[in-house]
Amino acid sequence: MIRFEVAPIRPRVATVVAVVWIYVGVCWLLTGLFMLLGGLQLVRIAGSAEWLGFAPAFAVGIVVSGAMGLRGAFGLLRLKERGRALVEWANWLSFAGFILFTLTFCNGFARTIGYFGSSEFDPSRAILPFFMGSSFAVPFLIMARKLRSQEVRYAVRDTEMRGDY
Amino acid sequence: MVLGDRFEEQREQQRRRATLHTSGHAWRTAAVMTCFLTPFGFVIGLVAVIVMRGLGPSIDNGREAEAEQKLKLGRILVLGGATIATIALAISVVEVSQFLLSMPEQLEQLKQRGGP
Repeated sequence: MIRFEVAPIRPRVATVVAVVWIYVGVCWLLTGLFMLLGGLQLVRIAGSAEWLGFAPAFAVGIVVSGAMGLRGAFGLLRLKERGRALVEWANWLSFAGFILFTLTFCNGFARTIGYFGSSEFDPSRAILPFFMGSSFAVPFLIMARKLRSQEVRYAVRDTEMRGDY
Repeated sequence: MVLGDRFEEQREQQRRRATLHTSGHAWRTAAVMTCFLTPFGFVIGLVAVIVMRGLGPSIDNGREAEAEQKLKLGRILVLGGATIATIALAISVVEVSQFLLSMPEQLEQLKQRGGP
């Protein structure tokens, strides 16, 4: 039996990232929308949005990156440059969002209020939450870096030049 | 005069194998995502991953029919998982909407009972 190793039509990394974003995009879009609706309802009841803190910004970030990722994933499956760029941006946005969320959470978690009302920052309390939060951000960084690789860029350019897919 | 293409068959075969490889990547990733995101997904996704095991070597060794069979079975399982996920998502959307809409009413009842 002759064994031929055939390269796939689409680079493996592009397929994996696109399929991951189809699932993540749908979940995030719905989650973010309901977070926003829930927030609006709570604001209506409480009469103030101050106590929500950075939660609305986080929900908007989830909706935006989910929508971008979902829209881009279908383009990436057809190896379109626009799709690749959208998914890459969604990955960078998710990475930045998770890191910002982690840092904000760590800042609150590691700060202790003293007896006389002064606040102190204890870095040892921030180490574990920082690593846990960062572990959610790292996959998005890897995906964004992989989408910038020569292999994916060449495949996208080649497909756009030939006009197939 | 029409010139015969000696390599047309080989090219067609290569193209078919490349398509199978790409489909394999897509459905295997979907099976892993089913594992994490679908209710009962751990069972459905894991079975789909196991079913599609050895897909690459099957294609490369020229056993395309076997590979297509594995891919078909994996695809049915993943689509079944996606159907369950869609139903679960629809139920969640309805439940959350009802909860959000009834929130002021519930708070009012809580206040009347002497709550916060």
